[in-house]
Amino acid sequence: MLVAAVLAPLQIFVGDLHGLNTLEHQPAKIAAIEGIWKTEKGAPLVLFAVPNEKERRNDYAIEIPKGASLVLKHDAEAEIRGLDEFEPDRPPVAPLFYGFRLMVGIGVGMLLLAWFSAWRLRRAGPLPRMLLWTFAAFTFSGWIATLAGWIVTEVGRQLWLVTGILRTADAVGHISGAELGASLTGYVLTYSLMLLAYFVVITHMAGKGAEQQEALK
Amino acid sequence: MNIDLPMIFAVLMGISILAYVVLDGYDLGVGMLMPAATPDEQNLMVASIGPFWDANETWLVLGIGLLLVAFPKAHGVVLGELYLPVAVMLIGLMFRGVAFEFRMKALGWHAGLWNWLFWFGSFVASLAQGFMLGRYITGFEPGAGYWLFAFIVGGSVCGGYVLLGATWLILRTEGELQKKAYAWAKWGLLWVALGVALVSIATPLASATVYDKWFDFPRTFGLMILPAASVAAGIWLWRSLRPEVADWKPFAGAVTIYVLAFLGLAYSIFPYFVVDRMTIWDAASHDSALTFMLWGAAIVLPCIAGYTVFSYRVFRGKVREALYK
Repeated sequence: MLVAAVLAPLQIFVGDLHGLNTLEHQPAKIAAIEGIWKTEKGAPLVLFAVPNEKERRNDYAIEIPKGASLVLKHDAEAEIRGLDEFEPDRPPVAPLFYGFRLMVGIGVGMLLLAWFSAWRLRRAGPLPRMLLWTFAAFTFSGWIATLAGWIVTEVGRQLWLVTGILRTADAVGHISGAELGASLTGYVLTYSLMLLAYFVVITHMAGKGAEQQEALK
Repeated sequence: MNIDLPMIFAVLMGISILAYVVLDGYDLGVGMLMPAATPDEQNLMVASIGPFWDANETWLVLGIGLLLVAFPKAHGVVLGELYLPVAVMLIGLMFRGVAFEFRMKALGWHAGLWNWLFWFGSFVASLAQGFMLGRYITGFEPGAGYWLFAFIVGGSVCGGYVLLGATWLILRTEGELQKKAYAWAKWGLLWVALGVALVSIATPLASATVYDKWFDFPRTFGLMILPAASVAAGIWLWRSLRPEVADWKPFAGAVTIYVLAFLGLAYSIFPYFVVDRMTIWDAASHDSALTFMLWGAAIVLPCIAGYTVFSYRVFRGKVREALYK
């Protein structure tokens, strides 16, 4: 738990560095993540919104004024390039916008949980049941956050495969749709079976751990 | 001085593929032999390959990596043509890799299921690899006959891996299991003899390019050294499949047959990378990229070779108990 309490903020720090690097090399991705449709100075940090791809604006937005400029450029008045500068070579906004918030949300959740538990562990006695159930609920949090981040980074690269040099559409191989469909079905089936097996195993192992605890009492 | 970089990388790739086939071949072969053994023997068999199998698969990664960076044009053609068998092979390897761990932990009928998946994964991966080889040698020609040929090569490769697996077990086990392994190796060798003979006859018939390389008198007489040496190695191997002969000899014999078959294959295809379509030099990256990568290879290859030798030294000798409980 102590390890998690140290690693979680470290991960967030590395994430910030990564974000700054992406801003430099793939600015369209950042604009989509932040939901910034037009280039502006002192851009707000959009906490939550429903990106409207048709009207090119955010609906129901909750924003912190000048937040994005502060986070991305560490200067409240700095200019952030919006999606309008990259048209039409820009990624779709919704998957990046939601994916990023899911990833960061889970990361913050992990951080709070780790810090609270590390603090709570200093006291004697068993941990409260609620906290143990929260741990159980976080079993797949790392996976989900990683996958969400992966979707952000891969979808965010589009329509380029190598930003500014090679388009994804120009790089696809001469594989037929049927072949792709067959292999994709195969992979999905395989991984579903593996996931099922994994659930069976961890449920079994968790049960075994509980039995040992009971036996110790 | 002008170094022929594409040639160097072709040789490096050949070495990687040969190393992969021999090394992963024996552990895939052991996997295919599982149904023929008792549960206790199965645990010993898995223990005999346990420390090595995943390191063996790194040679495949290296081979494909070299294909991608050194021969990008051939990478596009070869892996494009072989898209489906590669997917099938990967699925086989996935099931096998997971079954490795899970068969030990599983209870009741689950244990049987994972044992079956271990066999199934090994078999599917081997068949897919042989199938790819068959498609590759005939230059990916369309037509039912060529597909049938590829399946025959797939079956032969399974037999070849069974031979490697059985001779590996002769080397690493003793008692009842070793006795069984002698019998398995004999079947494997017969299978290989049939497969190699069939492929050696069919390949020149299927491909005019290969035919011209082998049947060009008087060069043909010199070339006959290869098949002659293969037959000699086969006979030597058959005669070493007895408990009185040193345990390492059958495995050495099997590896010798693989090296000879590989040389024959390399000779058949050279100078092509994709038969009749693309030579090694057509397919290669720019020299500047190859020079850069040569440095990478000079660092990575000794590392891989080093830990390979180290791990085989650490885990040498006979296996007597199951690896993990």
